[in-house]
Amino acid sequence: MVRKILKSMLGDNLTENNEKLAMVNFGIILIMFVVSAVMLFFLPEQIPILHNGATNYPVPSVLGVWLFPLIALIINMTFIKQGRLSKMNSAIFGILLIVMLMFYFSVM
Amino acid sequence: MNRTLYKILLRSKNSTIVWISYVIVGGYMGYLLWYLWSRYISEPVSSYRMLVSFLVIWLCTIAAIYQIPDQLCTNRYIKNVLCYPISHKIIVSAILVRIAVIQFGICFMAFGSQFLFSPQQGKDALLAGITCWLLVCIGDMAIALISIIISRFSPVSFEGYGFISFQYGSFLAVVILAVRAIVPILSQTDILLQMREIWRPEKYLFSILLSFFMLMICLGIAIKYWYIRGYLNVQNFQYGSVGKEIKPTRIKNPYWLIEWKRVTRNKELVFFSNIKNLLTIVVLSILLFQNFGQFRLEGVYVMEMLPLVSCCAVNTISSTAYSGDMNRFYYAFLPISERKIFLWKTVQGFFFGESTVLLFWIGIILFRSIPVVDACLLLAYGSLMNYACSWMGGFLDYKAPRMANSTNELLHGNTGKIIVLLVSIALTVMEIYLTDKQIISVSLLPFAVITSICVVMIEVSCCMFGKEVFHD
Repeated sequence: MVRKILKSMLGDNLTENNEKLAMVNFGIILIMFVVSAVMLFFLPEQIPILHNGATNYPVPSVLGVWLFPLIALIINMTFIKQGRLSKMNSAIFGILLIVMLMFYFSVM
Repeated sequence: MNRTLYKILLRSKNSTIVWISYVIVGGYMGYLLWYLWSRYISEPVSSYRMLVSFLVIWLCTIAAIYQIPDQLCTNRYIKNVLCYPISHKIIVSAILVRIAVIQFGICFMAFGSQFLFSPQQGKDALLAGITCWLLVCIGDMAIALISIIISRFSPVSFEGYGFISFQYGSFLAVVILAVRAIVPILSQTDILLQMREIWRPEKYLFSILLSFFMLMICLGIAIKYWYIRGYLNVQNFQYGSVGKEIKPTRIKNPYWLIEWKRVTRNKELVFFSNIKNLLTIVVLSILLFQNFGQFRLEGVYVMEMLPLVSCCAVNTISSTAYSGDMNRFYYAFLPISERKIFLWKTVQGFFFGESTVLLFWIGIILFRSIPVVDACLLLAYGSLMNYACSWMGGFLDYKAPRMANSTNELLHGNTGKIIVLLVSIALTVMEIYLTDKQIISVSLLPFAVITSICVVMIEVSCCMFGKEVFHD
């Protein structure tokens, strides 16, 4: 499936290297989805997703928990579309996963 | 047939899974937006339909301004299909329909989410969505019509500049209009109630439909009589310089020329990227100012220095110095100095970045009463940090150039930009912390200027003496 997406987006520019990097990115995003789904059982009913100074804007966990994985998915699609897959960008997805985990533990 | 033609004309295709992903993401974002509005803003949900229409029209118009003139008139692939028995109307409709479908998706996401959120208002949401999409289509057709008129009736030697002026002028006009309209709406919510009374889609639907069909007829006539001639005029503009007699000139500084040509021939790099940078700085500044209490950063010029250093850090010219330069593949075996190339790349990055710094500095002088000495120190700090950031951006791109397959250079070098931004902000925060806690007994601004002089000197020394670093 990943290869098909990459083939349709990158066409002749698909190489073994960017295929591997896309796999890594999709793998991290999948982990983010799974972790978010699992964390739903431990998170409070509402989690803050926005804050303006000292004011927080909480939303139900069922709604807010998917924000991080979906943002990561959009970013990954954009990277693939623009042919910008690199080790640095994969590292950013890793950092995003860590940030997400830290956020979940801080609101628990 | 339209789909195949579109693939030929734009070399673009997306798989079903990608479209499904976009739909899921769009649906989620739309629902979240409606949820936040209904939960945290006291006005009834129906009041925000007007605001959503406004945002959707704004977003779709910007996309149309960027895409339609490029895809319709300056697209070189159209030439390849002109020899086949394909009507001009089919070529234009393949492009316009595709854009309209994407815009329909955006409208559907915005209003469909409201349908999910409050099903009892589904009929109103549907009507508002359709009206909004029709308005967007009217905008698309108007843009296409203006593009055809420019391509057909402006002199061949002026054609390209006409398109650039039209695209950038209308882009800026739309952005300024939107900002001027949205700010009062968000600050005074009673305006929304007044607008809800005035704006009733069912009242204006007939007029909108009439305008839609009239514009469609006008566009049909324009395509039939002017499009192909106009398209060929634009193509002639692009290739017209081949036959031009070039006066013999002596190139005084080839290093400067290489970088100058790289920057000036890429309109996206200079214009859209600077717009994007300014927007980034505005958002970043708002976030920083709103959270100052939490960061506990205090000082006399803290509010000026952080946005100024952010302006310096997001320098597209320097952060794309190598990854956006196709000539870099020849540097390895040509008898040219890598250090000199690097120097002139950073100098040009500095000059382009300095315009933003100067604008920001003038703004500070005009809107804040600052003593002359401090104003001069602030400018010196901005200029020095601008060179320091330009050097850092260029160096990162020299050591790790991005090997992008895409020709779109607008977003190149973002990783480098982020690193430079983090480093420069960390440096400024450190300066603020040291002076605030009185670890250093000098006031903030002179200390920041001294630090930035040191940073620039280290960078220049590295450039002068670090032969190994540049493989010279």
